[in-house]
Amino acid sequence: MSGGNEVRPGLKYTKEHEWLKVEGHNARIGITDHAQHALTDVVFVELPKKGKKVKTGETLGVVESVKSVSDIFSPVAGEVVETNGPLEDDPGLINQKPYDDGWYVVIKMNDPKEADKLMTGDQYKASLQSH
Amino acid sequence: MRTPIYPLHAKLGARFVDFAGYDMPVMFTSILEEHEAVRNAAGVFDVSHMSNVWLRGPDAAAALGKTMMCDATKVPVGGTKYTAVLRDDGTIIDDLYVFRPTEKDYHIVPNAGMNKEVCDWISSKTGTRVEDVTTETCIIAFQGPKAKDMMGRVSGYDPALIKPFRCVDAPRLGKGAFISRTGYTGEDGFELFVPAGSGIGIVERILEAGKSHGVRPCGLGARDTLRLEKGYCLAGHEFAAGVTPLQAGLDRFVNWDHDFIGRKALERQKAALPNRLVGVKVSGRGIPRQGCKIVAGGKVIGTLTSGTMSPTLKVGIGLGYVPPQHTARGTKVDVMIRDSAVPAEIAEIPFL
Repeated sequence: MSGGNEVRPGLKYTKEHEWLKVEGHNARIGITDHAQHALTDVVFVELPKKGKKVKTGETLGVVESVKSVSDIFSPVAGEVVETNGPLEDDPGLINQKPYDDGWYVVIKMNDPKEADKLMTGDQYKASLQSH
Repeated sequence: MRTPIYPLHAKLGARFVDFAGYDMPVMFTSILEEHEAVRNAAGVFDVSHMSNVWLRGPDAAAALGKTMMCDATKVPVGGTKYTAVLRDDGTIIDDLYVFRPTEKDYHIVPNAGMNKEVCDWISSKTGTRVEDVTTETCIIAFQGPKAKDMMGRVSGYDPALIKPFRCVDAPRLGKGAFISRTGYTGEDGFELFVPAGSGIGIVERILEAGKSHGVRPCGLGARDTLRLEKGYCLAGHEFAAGVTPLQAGLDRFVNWDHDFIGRKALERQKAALPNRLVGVKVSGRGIPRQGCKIVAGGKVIGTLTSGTMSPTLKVGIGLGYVPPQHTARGTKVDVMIRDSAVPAEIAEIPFL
């Protein structure tokens, strides 16, 4: 399991501990290293269906550890265009590589500018330290 | 509250949760890894949040016999017995272990936070004096297939002399100390009952001796998944709704050849149980949790009292109470996980 401290530059972050990577009109979304560490061993992932339309802050799906259940919220509005299928068989990828193989979904954003409003890596790091 | 071993937990990097008013380690590195360590090597748990009570002298056995479904007079010196304290209506106040390390002394271990209730119950029903030593005692559970090999080195007592489900007086570990070959993980293992001040030293000795054997400090998270795979009931979960031992599948621990509080109610209930504890194994995707509804034929027939993903079986498992017509092994049911009906079946306990 990764150590729980990594905040990767170049990504955007929410206070609910999701990260977002802008790829043109699309946004790749996952949960942060801090979040996976807090969750402990992820043993179950419920992915949304492709084509699902989501509003900002709406529940995208669920990530469960042995002890807890956590919702994943969509940081932006748009449509789910890709889901990380391998997570269903190997949910531990979220613990091992939260920013790489552990990504959760890709959303085609209604308004790509929406991502600009999210925290930068430095801001997220500061928010973690203030807690 | 904190157990005397808390400073060591903190040093070892434990993640803490509140459990029955105690700051207890839920895990050190990973619940799954700790679970696996206990199944394949060994793990050490601090279970000092559990209650510790002595009953001493010639009245002790009779007092225990009256207030518990076991016949304490049948517990030999060096014996142990799993039992429960019942209300007049036969429902479980608490389940506990009775240990008789020496001739006249009986040690009981009610659940965390239950010491006062159980002590008050015994005193008020029998007039017998009880000695609550919860805060002065550490219980260290050393569990797993490799525990036996290391016991001699860490305790100074030959493990060959401590047979399964027996206990021995262990004065070298401190005043009133004893060791029992019991546990709550389903693995071979030992529980060491020692004075509060000796706890940290013993855990350190176990970890040192077990370093190269894969022995790990374990938290309550692994303890819960381990006990659930074996179908062991947990107070506050399986007993929360006021059930009798017959409903909870503890029939074999009832000694019918003595009189005890709650016995008449159990006799009446024997003929027709309203509902019974069953195991539920989920075949669809999803993790069953405490509170999930069990559904058959579109109707809710019960609620899960515990549930988890079994680290060993890699499927969702749970315990819950259902009416008698649904208790047969293999009966198809659904478990409501969030808004989905996830296919499941009534399974044999233990799951493992």
